[in-house]
Amino acid sequence: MNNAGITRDNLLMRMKEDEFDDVIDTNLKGVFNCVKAVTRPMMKQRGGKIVNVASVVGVTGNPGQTNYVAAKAGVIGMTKSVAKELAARNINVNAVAPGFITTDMTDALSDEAKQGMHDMIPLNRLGEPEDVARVVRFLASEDSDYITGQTIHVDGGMVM
Amino acid sequence: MADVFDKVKEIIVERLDVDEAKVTMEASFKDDLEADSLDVVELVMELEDEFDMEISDEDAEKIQTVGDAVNYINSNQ
Repeated sequence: MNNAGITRDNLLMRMKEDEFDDVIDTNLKGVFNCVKAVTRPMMKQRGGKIVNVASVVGVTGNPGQTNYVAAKAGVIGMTKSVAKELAARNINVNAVAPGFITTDMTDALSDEAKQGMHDMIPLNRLGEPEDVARVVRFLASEDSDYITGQTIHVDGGMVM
Repeated sequence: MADVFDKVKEIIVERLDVDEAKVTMEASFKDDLEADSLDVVELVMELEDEFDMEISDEDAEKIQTVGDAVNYINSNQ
């Protein structure tokens, strides 16, 4: 499961090349490196489950997050390509795309911003970390043996 | 030399499920042994383990026939 991620938010016009590179290096290249590292043992054992963490903004776009969105959209594309490459070896590769989840990052937002989020979420609440973890567990289990190359949105219905 | 060839042949026969007689020094993995690119990557991985060596991606790309693999192993062991 590839979960490491950072943000360096800035408007495109103000975004430094460093800010772009840092996010791509961790959020996209980090996934590439980890996937590559686990592929060898998984090919040998003729099976495995890889779960990448993307984000709904990788699908929708988000102002101020050109770098982050590019990386997350990249993760979704990488997930599909690697899924096709490794399907013949019985290795499933999927992604989850969380929406707004209660974390330190969202706790820091103002009440007004939080209310704004609720209004965008049909299920009318922020997601809990467990909501994401349960889907990751599903994708890592035999219950999802016939699913590969998919990105499952865990976002309370925000993006359909 | 013969030992390396025999071991490589054994691995190929098992991995690619091909007739032993088809595994000659001249046989091309892709054209004669019906291996796809992923099969070849996997074979190289197995040869690395069997002969306790590391084959760089650059060198691995040059291995196209059984003979290429045997010669590489012989000259790099």
